[in-house]
Amino acid sequence: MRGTYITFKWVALGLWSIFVIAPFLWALTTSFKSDNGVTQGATYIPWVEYAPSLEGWKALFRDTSSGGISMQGPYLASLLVTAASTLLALALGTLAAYGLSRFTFRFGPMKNNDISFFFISQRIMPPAVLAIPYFLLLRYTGLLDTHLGLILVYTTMLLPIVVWVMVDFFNTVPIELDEAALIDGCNPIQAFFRIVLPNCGPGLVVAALLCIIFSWSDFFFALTLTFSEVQLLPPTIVILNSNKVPWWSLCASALASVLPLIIVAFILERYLARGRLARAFK
Amino acid sequence: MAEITVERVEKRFGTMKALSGIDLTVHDREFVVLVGPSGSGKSTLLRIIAGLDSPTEGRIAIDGAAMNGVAPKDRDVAMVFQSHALYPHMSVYDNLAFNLRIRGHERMEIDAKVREAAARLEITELLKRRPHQMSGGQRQRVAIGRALVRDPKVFLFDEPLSNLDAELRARLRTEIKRLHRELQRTSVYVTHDQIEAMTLADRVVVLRGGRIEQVGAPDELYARPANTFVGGFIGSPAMNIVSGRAGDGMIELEGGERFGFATPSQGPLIVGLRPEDLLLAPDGTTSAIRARVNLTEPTGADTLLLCSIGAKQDLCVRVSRHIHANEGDVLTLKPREDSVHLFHAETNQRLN
Repeated sequence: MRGTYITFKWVALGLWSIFVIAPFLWALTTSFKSDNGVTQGATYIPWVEYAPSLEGWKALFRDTSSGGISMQGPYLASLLVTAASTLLALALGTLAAYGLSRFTFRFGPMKNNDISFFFISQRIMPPAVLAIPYFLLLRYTGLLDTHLGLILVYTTMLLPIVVWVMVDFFNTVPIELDEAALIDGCNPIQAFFRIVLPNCGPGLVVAALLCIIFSWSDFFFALTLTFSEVQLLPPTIVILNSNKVPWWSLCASALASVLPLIIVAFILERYLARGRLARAFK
Repeated sequence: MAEITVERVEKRFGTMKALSGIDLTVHDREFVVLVGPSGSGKSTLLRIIAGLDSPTEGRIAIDGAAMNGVAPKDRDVAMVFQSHALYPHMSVYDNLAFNLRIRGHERMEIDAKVREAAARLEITELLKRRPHQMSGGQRQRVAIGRALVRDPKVFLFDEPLSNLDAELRARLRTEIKRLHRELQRTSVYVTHDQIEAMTLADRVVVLRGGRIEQVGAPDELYARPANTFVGGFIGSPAMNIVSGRAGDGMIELEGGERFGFATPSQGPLIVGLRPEDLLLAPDGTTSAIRARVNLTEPTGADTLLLCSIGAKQDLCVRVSRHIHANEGDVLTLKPREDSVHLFHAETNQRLN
């Protein structure tokens, strides 16, 4: 019985892994191919089935004038916007969530739970509805086509997620910890930063991960709110499709663009798996 | 020197009254236990003394200095929580040192104090552990150590032993009492367990529904409960509380049994009889209670006899284990002369 279960588990995991990894494998091999290698059909083993070439990857760093893509600019812009909006959203959202978890608020007829729901309800609207107001807002404030404008827009989009995740997380931290800290000699701000927040690592990791994924891969706002001054990665790559960019460079650029997410996922996963919290609060 | 004064304190949560008209003085070096059923307001009162809740009305003072509006950290109190509330991300050492560090003590001094407290509680070998690597009893020891290390004016305990198993609870109870004898610090201890209250307290405060029912030394509470609630709440097994009627130097219990007792007044009243104050008398003794044994419960040193008088009225009797009674036997019982508690039939207040 147990044997069957284990076999089934590994078969299922194996199939799923193939499903997920195969496209990456295809892109990875293609990125090292040249004209001949691509047209000969699906081949996977370098030097045996095709002659590997670094042409696709080199093109990422070459100027457009000399047939390259020049990805460094958009890459750095994306890194900047992602990092800034994630940090901003985490800072503001965490504080808001702590307040909602620990203190009682009233805003007209709305109480804490309603306020939390109000935050997340901001995400019910499809981005397309928001695009025009944001466009007008940014034009009005002169922030259209700037990094700061995008950072602010992303922060507003990320805040609800952070608040939602963190309220839930703070609610799992017993309030006796705050109270013990207050009696031990902390003021409420110290109690938050020295006692509560260090115990919310996994929550921060989840929130940060969601923020990074959203702001790194957002295409819609990056396309509609920027034109020439600021170029983020997703629109840049999509635009490559319509040009006569060779397959190998396309694949290289796509892989390069998911690389940061993969790195972040591997680093943060370790914190998620720790599970120190659940045991300590028993 | 630390005296806590609570004057006319009220606490309301919305429309719910958690405490009303609380007046209490905890003297210097005294160990006071607040006891009562859940919802009696005992924890709320403790939290108000700690500064974690503020009273809706009334005044709190420590050593004469008003504490209303003073932050918990500035009250010089330490508190042990039911859920231990150790900081999960810190080692035991850091948990103990945290309050000294945040108050800016010298490194050497902190180390000396932490080690002294650890030695006193025999947790030195745990100093490097994290809270999740310890048992419930060890965690609660560390939590007590965290309070100890600061040498505060006042110790507050909020049901610190409730989450532990019976054996550990008894051990730590003794230890808390020993610590109090050694350190002589003013302490307020909240519990719902009347045995903890009796064993630990210099004085016990019995609360019910946000009001103080009685304040007194454990002996006093046991010997002279102010009303039927305190009578029933303090003591295990509980006092037998039976309606009756007084007249002609006799008390007639519901169920028809009568015994001779001089009462201050005539008419209906409530009689409180502790199980151990019902003494076996020779058969045929006049003016005694006859009760039929329904169940016997040996507890070791004593045996509890659950009896009935008349049709409905139950009566619990505690006898020595050397007395053998069988279910169905009829006992002749005479209440101990000086231990009959009389209460007013309507107000439930003590009469004698």
